[in-house]
Amino acid sequence: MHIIQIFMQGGVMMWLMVLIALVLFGIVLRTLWHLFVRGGNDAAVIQNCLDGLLFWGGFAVIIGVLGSAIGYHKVMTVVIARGVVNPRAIWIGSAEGMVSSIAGLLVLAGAGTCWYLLRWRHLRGRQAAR
Amino acid sequence: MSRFNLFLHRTGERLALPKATRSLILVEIASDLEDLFNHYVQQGMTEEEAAARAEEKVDMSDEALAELVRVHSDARGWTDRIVRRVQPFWERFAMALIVLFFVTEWVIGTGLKPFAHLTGFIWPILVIFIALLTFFIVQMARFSDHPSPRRLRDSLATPLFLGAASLVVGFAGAGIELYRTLMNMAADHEHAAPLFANVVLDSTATLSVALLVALAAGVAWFILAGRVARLEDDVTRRFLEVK
Repeated sequence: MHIIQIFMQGGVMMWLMVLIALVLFGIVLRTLWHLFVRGGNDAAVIQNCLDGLLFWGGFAVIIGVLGSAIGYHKVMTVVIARGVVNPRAIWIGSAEGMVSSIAGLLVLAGAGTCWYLLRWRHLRGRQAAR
Repeated sequence: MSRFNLFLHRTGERLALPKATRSLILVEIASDLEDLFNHYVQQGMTEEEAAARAEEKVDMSDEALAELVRVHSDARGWTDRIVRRVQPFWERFAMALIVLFFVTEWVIGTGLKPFAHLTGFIWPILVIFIALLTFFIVQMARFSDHPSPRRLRDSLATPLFLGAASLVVGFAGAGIELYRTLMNMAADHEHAAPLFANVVLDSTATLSVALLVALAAGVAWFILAGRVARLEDDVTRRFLEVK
């Protein structure tokens, strides 16, 4: 299945994921700039960026789970009102409801990986400076 | 202008540190000075004597300042540091867009009607939301009243706590409702399907409200943390402007 199709199944919350991913990308670039171009001297700013990665990663997970909860709620509203007319549609809808939660967790995983690697580079730079 | 500006200016000059760390240390020293000053005045000293005694108590050797810098650079907890984050423009812009999105969704309507599918767990979540709203309004009002930056920063853990509490109640509530329903389904096979559909409907509604309250707590925290950081910068700038 095409990645765009999967993205669209996640609903409107997926656009917030894109926004958060862009913010995270900006934070990673800012950290890289401070680490490699400015020599990693401004520890406070680098720490600030690293903390930002975790903050926005956590935010993405909450938005993702919220998207799933709203999706399931809508599905069950229809099921209760009309009955299980098409069971296959229910299974597909249930699978699609997972997309935004998975996306939120993937954004957190990406942010966490960047946090770990950049923090490691930052600490190694500080040790070398000592 | 603080009566201790000259003292703080001299101390600031001895701190060869990034601006954010220097701000933090100066704000904390200023707060300690004010506390000591009030204590000595209450003991019967004149204001001049109390100010001199407070400065004498707080004046630090180079070694003590170096230790203070070490503590503030390395040993601070993650939550304390993230509270002190100074958000760049694009982060504030993104947060504004997210808030705008949810407000628009609320106005247009998402099809979510949580109050039409109440579980008992909606009420503690609403209490948490009211506490969050009250806290946010009170804190915003305090900014216009020459507040102590340290006290404001200390209180920033509250929205974090309320957001976490909302998540705990939401997920625990969904789990408990699901457990009860599964037990009922085991006892009543014939009505298992509608029972299950109803519990999913109720639990997702409650969980959605809990997650929205947690998001609101995150936004409140983000706004207040930015305000506190800017206030600390202003206070520090005032200290350092004195010659």
